[in-house]
Amino acid sequence: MLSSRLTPFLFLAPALIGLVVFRLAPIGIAVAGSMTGTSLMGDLSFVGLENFAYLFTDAEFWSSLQVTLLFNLIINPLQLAVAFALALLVFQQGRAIWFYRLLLVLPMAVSTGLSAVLFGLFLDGNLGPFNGFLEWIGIGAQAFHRNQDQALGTLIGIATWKGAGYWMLFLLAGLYSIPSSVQEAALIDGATPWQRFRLVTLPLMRKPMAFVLVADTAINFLFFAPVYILTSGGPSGSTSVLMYQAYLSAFTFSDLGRSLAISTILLMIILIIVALELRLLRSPEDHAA
Amino acid sequence: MATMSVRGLRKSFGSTEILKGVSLDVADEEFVALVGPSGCGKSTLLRLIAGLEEASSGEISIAGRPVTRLAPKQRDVAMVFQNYALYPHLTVRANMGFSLKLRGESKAGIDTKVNQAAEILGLSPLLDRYPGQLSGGQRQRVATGRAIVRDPALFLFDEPLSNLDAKLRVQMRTEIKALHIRLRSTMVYVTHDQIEAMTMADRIVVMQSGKIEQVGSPLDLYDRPINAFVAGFLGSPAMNFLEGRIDGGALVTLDGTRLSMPGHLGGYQHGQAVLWGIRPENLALAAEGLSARVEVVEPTGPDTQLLLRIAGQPIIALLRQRMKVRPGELIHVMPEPGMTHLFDKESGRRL
Amino acid sequence: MKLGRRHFLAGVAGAAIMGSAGRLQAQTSVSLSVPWMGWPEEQVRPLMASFEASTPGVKIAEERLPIAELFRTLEVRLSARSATPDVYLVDGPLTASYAARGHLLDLGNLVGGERDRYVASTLVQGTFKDKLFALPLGTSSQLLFYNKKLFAEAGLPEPSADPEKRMTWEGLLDIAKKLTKPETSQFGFAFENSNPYQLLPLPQSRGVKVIGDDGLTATGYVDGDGMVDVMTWYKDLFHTHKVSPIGTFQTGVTQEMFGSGKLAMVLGGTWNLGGFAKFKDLDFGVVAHPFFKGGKPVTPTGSWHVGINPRTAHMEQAQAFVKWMSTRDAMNLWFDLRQYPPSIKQIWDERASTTFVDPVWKIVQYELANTATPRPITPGYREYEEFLRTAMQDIQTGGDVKALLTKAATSIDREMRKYR
Repeated sequence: MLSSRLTPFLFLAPALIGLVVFRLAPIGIAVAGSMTGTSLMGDLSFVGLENFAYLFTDAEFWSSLQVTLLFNLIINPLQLAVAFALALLVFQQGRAIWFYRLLLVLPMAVSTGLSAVLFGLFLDGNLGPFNGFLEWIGIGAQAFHRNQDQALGTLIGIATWKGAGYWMLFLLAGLYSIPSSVQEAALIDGATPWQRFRLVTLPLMRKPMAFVLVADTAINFLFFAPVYILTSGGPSGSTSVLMYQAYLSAFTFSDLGRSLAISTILLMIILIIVALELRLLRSPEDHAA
Repeated sequence: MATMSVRGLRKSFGSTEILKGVSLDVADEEFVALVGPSGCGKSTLLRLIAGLEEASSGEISIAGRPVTRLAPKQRDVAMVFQNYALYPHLTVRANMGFSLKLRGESKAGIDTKVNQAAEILGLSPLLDRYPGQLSGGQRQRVATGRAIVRDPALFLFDEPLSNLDAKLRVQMRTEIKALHIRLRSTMVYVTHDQIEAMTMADRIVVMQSGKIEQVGSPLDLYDRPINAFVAGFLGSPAMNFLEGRIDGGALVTLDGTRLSMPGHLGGYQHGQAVLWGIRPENLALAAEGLSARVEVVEPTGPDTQLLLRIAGQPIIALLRQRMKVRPGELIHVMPEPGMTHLFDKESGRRL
Repeated sequence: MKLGRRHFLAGVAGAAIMGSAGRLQAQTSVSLSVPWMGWPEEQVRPLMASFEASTPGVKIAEERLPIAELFRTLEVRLSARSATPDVYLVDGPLTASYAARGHLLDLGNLVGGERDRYVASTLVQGTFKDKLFALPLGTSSQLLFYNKKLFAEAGLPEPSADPEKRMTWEGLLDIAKKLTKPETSQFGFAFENSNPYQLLPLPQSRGVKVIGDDGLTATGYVDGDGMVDVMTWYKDLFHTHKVSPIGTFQTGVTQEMFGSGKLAMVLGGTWNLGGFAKFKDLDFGVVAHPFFKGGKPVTPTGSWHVGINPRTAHMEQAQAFVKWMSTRDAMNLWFDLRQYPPSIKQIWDERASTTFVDPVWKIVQYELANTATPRPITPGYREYEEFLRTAMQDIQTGGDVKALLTKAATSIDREMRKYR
């Protein structure tokens, strides 16, 4: 006979075990691993904070950190804004509105890797059709991911193309969860469309927006495949995000300790930024409750 | 405060016509209730008056001013919604002051009006709470308060009490009625609950299938319903109908029972199919009269409600006395003189 | 039911017996785990099947992986230092990297006195510190492909196919200029891709050393004056003379451009012979790799090798497999499946009057014998290649040559520390 005190834990056990095995353990391994070094012959040794000390004196790390922060500073608000704008656009009745929604969600079905490959072909300076179009309308060919000043923007564009429709879904669901009577109350209270958006819709979208921003941030700090496939961190390091550095350290430089140190730093950054975001988007009514 | 009038109002959604030409005048300071079964168009009529829907045709004017093509904010109306539609992210104070703030009133002016309304509704201690922290009744009061501070030409209520429990509903009913008297305001109140309409309204508008069936004071409608629908809709328990044919001075029911209705049925066309209506409370025990088989006895304390079978049809009688009858017994009941109604079966029209 | 300790122990023992029984059975038929390149199945399985037929009781469980995936998979599995893979495909220049970390078995005993059977340059890249660690399965060479129709349109005579009369880079540039027509997006010349494999023969042709003698020093070599000069010449192809299309980092792009007549000349590997076959209207000629005037002809070489994980649990079978791969029959079958220039002299001889009468193969044979220069032999080749490739791509897109090479050299030196 089971003690009734144990019962709740038994019910929770599958979830708790899942949490430990799939979430906490990898983090623990990463953090512990970041303090190890491996000799050429594979001997593991504890090196304390040496990997971190090395990174902090490494110009490549700092420049990569800068790229990562710049990338996220632009892409996260941008994706949120674009997703929100799209959600507002398709948040209406109308014939064939499902068609536009489908169109916007479709890129989701394309894997990140494949979308990078597709854009690589599409934007290719020699064979890609897009530059032909740009020349035709008189803007002239652009190097996109082959240009130091355009590469990061190009990757942001590709990621947004793929991601915006996905995040739009969450925001659309959020818009639907605002009771129409609340909007009507505002209408009767005399709010202009802009006032309704700013004073009613926007504050009531705080939760879905916070979710999207936090989830998007976590994903974008780990942005990797398009860098790996399209730019290899270049040109001249302009797209060399920390994830790519972590990849290089592990798989090209055979330095797992350094790779895990970079991952650990990324984890810290994500935690800090997500905490800031949640604070920023906290609703006053939750605070009071 | 102001008058409101609606002329030949029609509204269609796609090919479905919800309002089929509605005309109505509401006098200054009047409390008018719109009642009818769900889908009758009463809420749509209210939303058209508010400006939340656009009329397909017809005219609406408020305080003598045509408003049919105006946006809600230009109509000077306030509305209380069924689910209260409070702004969840704003405090009670901000909810109530929202329209005034949009109107650009001074902070001091807003505070005065909000405090005043809160005082009336007993919301003063709750002003800094959020809607999520309030009970259903409190939310209802805030929604009402939000309407009051506007001091609008016209108050619109869209089933404001239907989300409350029965006891609270009775209490709020009284409060809104008192508020109407205190504010001397014009109010249009939509409800599906005929008791609410009967107890609160100066006049009741009974609607069915997009049309107004009858308009009148509650007791007018109760006593002289223009057709079988109105007769059946108002009153609880509802009016009884016996179906049959006129034959001389008697009613021959479906099963062939011949009921003589002294004094009531003279002068009607022989053979006409009719509904003979009698309210449950207008039936009294009698030594002779309509013989009725008792099927169910429901004592409520002061009254006794009987489910009877008369001429094969179910009839409810509400008797202001305690009764010692048992199911299966045979009794005799008589309608109170002058309190029966006769309707044409075909059209439902009062005869 | 209450599970007593005795029951539990009995269960464990039972499981152990069953486990060892399984192992016994496995010994009668060994399956070798062999990560391989993701070539089409019909180019891989027949080779394995042929071995299985010759050696009863040994099965090959090959895994066909795309190139980047193959390197990553090997890195992960080898770093775990477990018994698998048993045998694996080694990219020539990575031999030193694997060997230095103890991931390759010394094949000295296996190949022993048979070194003479091999085209000498092919053994070089399988060798680290004078020991053979990876058996060459073939080699590679680069050729200059040109579009005959575009030459005719420009009124240019076709170049000589005689390796002794090969073009100089200076001469090639003059011709490329005449074959470049910006108005129709036609370019004169391109390297097939921008990998160090392709481009290192440029400095080597001028006698520039591309890495220190220790195989671990990049500063002074990768960013030396000679390298900077050559890479400036390379950059000028794209930005000053504009005869080469920017952004040509990958073989697919240049192959497509050459095939569709947008590119008059391309320097590429023998695999392009098959690649160009799909363009029906393409009429192309093939000549030898150019060199710098006053310098010496140098061609890239190196290819796939096969090596044994020293930790394999099936040492005997793994050695049998690699030994079999070095046989004439295996190599002959392998050439039938994929036409890499053979590493065994016997194949060249046997096919001299059949396959290799094609003038293209004459050029290849000449290059392998006279000009083929392997990539630097260093345990840090992955790091070396990574940074150099990045720099070369950035130079192509217009970056500052000296700054990029200096950064690459610094980064390489930094990563090489662990091999010192």
